[in-house]
Amino acid sequence: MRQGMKKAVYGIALSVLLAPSPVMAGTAEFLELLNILRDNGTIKEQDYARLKNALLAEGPEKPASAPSAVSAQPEPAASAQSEVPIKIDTEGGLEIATYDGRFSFGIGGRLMADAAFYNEDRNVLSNGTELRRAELELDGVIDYDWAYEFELDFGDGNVDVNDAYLTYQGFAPLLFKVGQFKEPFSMDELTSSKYATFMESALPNAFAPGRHLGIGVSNGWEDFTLAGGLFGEAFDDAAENTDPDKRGDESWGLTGRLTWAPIHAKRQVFHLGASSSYRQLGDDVEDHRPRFRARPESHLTNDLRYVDTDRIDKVEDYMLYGLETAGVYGPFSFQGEYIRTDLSRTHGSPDLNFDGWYVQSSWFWTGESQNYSVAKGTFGKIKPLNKYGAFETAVRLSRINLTDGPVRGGEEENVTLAINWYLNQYMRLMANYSWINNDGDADAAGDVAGNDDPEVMQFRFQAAF
Amino acid sequence: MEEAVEKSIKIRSGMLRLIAFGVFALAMAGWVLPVAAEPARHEVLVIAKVSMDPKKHYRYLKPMVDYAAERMKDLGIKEGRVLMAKDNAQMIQFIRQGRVDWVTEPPFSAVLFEEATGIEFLLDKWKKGVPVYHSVFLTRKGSGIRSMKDLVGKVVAFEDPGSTSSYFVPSYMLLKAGHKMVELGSVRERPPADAIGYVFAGQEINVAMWTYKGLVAAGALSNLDMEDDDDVPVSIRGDLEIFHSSSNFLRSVEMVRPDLPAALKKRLREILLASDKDPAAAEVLRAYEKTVKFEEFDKEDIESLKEVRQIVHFMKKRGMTP
Repeated sequence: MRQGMKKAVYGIALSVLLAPSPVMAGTAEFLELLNILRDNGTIKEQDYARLKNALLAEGPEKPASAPSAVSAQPEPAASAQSEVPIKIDTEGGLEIATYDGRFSFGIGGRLMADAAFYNEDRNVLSNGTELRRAELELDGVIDYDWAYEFELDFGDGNVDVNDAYLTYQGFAPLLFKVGQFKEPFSMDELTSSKYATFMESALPNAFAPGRHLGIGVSNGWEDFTLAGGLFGEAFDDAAENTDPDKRGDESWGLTGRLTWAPIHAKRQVFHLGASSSYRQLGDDVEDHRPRFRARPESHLTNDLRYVDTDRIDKVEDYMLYGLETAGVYGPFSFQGEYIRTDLSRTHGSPDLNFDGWYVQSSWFWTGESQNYSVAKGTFGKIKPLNKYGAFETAVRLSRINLTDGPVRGGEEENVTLAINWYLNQYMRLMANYSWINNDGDADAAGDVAGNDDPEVMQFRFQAAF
Repeated sequence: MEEAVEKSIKIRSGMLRLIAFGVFALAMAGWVLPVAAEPARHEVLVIAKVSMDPKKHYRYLKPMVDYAAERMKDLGIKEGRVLMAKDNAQMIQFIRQGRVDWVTEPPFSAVLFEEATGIEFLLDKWKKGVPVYHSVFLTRKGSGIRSMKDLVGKVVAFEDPGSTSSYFVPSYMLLKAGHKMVELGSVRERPPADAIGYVFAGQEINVAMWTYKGLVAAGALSNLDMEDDDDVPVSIRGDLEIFHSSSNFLRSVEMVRPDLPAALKKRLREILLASDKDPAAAEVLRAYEKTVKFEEFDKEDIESLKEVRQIVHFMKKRGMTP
């Protein structure tokens, strides 16, 4: 009896739904009926799908009765059926990618041409020009889950290997990295030079470990990122085993960074971050004596670094701690960091600590916003809203103290004003004016006069693609 | 003291060995994984969408297809894959060739695929957290524009030719109301007196700014853009008003190829419907275009899809497809 009822209900539903002129006003009710019939097991899943499809499709343009222009095209040959289309794109560089995500290959680059003019105080500084960076960047994906990045810098006339690493992304957003890449420490360090607001990093960047060979892992959640790694030394350092000062075990370090962005809309961001790094020193002649030093936020001073601890003896290991914050509110943004290092020493020598901080703020006159990446906890590319580009004004105050106990590395404070003109999303002109204030110990480890307070005007033309 | 130095050296060599081992293990994994046996087509679940940026969209789709495939192992599915199409025509070919199983698209292209291939609607997707959206016409307060007919002889700003809410739907509304439309090279050009001129502003914020500055008489955006500070800055929002809106349309839909085995369709529906309650799916849904949940189609959805079909048919006759 019950089976008979089911059949009757099914029969009625089927005949109504497949009738030549279905009453569309009752579509939703029929759909509900179908759902009930499926859920109580009266009809099978394939029947449910067939009936629902008939219900949702409208008569006159069904493929069987009225094939569209596209459906009239012949089916491609069997060989074409396994071909995966390839996308080739260029925005100055070259990007090739298969449409199944299995392979991709990209070539990009960046060119930065600088000029600097110094208003000297006590020491001679040479005005000049340089190719700050001339980089060729290759990246790609191999067989879905492996990605690589390889970056060569020809800027100073030699070839330097910057990023050179392989990533396993099979468990994305969990990523594993091996090769040479930046240790996850400090927002200023991790934001690419292509996108940094100022021409050079702030003074406390002297503490950032930078690029080293190692293995790392990172993960990203909706508001958080966590990255960590185990690192040796830089590619160049490891290659210099012929140098008698470089013989011996390398130093190694453990570094981690946590970021949290409770607000991360396109034009509103609040970011907090903390990094920490431990480094056990090597036993070669050079690397067991660490050194911290900083250029006065102008690269054209070449090797003149007023603040310089010189090589510090009897250090066993050291810790770095970094705190960072940043915010975006429409065209306004701010960013700040505090970094401190604690050195543990042997043979009864006193432990040492040095620190530094910076705060900066920027405003886009033309309405753009700093482009925050919550997945990386850094800032990225600016896309101008207007045909004539984007204009930005920024100011930064930075300070570093490399004096502690017997180590008289000096203190320096800089104020920098910046104006950036983003001609488009690939090119920009930068102008920075800095007032530099050094104390008496900031004498480049005794090589120049201390208390030097020069001013720097510097310019950059940048193309990045 | 010597002991301490020796210990320190031992730790260092231990760490270096660990690095070396890690590198070796990763290298071995890279060598071994690709040579695993290639599964047959029926053992692979393939998700698809039309994409201008396959590298980016792969990251959106892969976690979701992996999540679903993992839960279909007992039905013979061994892995999930992604295949994107460069345009609607290519997607139609893929569906006909049986190369894709599951397609995620906005409803306007979804009905194109349905009519060309018979692909079946499965579920409604709350893309970016919302189930529906609509188009709005906006103008600066006091501009004197009160309806679409006031735009004749004037200029309207759309976002770009690929936009559904800021080009396709508003164009349909203007054409359906019987107006002539003429594309202009810039906002400085004037349309014929009996036609409505239109320009592409490139970005939503430009549509809003050009309307605010009076460079165009009106602009078209989605209601979601209107509520987004990034697209319509708070500072100008109070000076803009909406004078006409479209019906609500589904944000996005999930479809399956008609000959996909019924057991797989049923399981996929179950997996997706339950995903918003599964903590393991939280990151997958976030990657999947910030989807909040999936739902069965209700009465309003079906009515909305009927209107979408009418719009697509109307526009197809005028040579325009979503």
